Amino acid sequence: MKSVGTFIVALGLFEMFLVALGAPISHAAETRISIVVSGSQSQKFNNWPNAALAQAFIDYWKFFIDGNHEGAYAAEAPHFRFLYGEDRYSPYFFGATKSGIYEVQAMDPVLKGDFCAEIPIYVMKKLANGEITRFGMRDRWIQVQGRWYHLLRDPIAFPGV
Amino acid sequence: MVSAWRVLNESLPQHRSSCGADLTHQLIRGLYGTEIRVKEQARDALGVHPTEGGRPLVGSEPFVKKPSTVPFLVLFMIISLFACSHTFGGEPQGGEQIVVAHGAEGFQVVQSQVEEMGAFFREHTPFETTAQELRRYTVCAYLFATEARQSGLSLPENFKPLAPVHATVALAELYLDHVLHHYPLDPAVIESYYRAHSDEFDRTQGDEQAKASSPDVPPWQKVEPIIRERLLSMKKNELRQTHCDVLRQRYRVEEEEQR
Repeated sequence: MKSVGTFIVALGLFEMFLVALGAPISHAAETRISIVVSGSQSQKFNNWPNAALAQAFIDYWKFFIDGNHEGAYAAEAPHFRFLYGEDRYSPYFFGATKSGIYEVQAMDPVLKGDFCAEIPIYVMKKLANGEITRFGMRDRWIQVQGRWYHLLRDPIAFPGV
Repeated sequence: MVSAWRVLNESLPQHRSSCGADLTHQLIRGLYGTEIRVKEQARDALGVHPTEGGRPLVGSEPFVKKPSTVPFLVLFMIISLFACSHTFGGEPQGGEQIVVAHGAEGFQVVQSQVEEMGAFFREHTPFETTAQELRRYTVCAYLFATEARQSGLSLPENFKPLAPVHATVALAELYLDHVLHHYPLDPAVIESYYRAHSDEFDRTQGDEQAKASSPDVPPWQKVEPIIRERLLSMKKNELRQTHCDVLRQRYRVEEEEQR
């Protein structure tokens, strides 16, 4: 928490910014956990390639938080969905959502060309013994036919993606 | 003591391999009774050849004392082979076959074809499978091969099958490749894979380079055959099963219960 402490802004602020950008915001049901975005008040969204990526990111993680596997599956990359059906995805998804995650912290996206982005995220997790743990990962996104999709890469569960 | 059944078995390896020695032993004992004796000890005497009525015995000669007639032995072999085929589950006589699956247009798979397929895989591949999977694979292979023939597909003239069933397996794979080749892939799937592996593709054929060479063609279209092959090869087993199910319905295949 400390390493990103001062840069964390509540999801509400992020949405307010998106509203200011004119991006449509989808409001999911009340969530158990929160999504927070790093960056100073003035700069926190400047490095995001566009509002569409931010919206896709929020939508995806809200689906995740809400346990909406259909919504999350639809947000995965087309070639992922071609290779792996929902029957393979759902058990993986529910296994992840029931693991005590209560917060996802997003850092500034790193663009890779015009169509790929990596968003460093920290996932906050509460263990069974009450201890708080945090692990970092790169959340990958690709733009296909003008729309941003999440790229789930787990070479063990989903090889070849 | 070397018994007569051993003489018989040694004289007919094929018979020995397919039929239990005990059965042959019983048959011969029953017919010869206690008359059968073998001069085994004589073999062990160095330099001394045993005699039979003053005539020296040689090593290749059967050591059956009485009655030592060849016609009897031949008769026993025939009887025991016949008994074996019934006792140990040999092929039913008179061309009767155990049907495993049957369907429209005369489609039929019999048990001997499943066994032939199993033997082929055991001998030529490292794969092991259950009886149920083998049966399912065999039915699918024969469906694919049937469909291949109807589609006008044929194996190359220089194809040399390792076993008779190999031709069916190869024809089935040829048909599956044909299906995969014509599989309709959404362009978004191709582009998606390209974007996800942009590092790899950019090294060999980057966006900028591609744009420069032919600006109107999206970069992923130039590597589409590679992407198609990769995606479909990963999906091959699933598509094999899906397409097999389609053919099962088309041919209205019904499977007999597994025995």
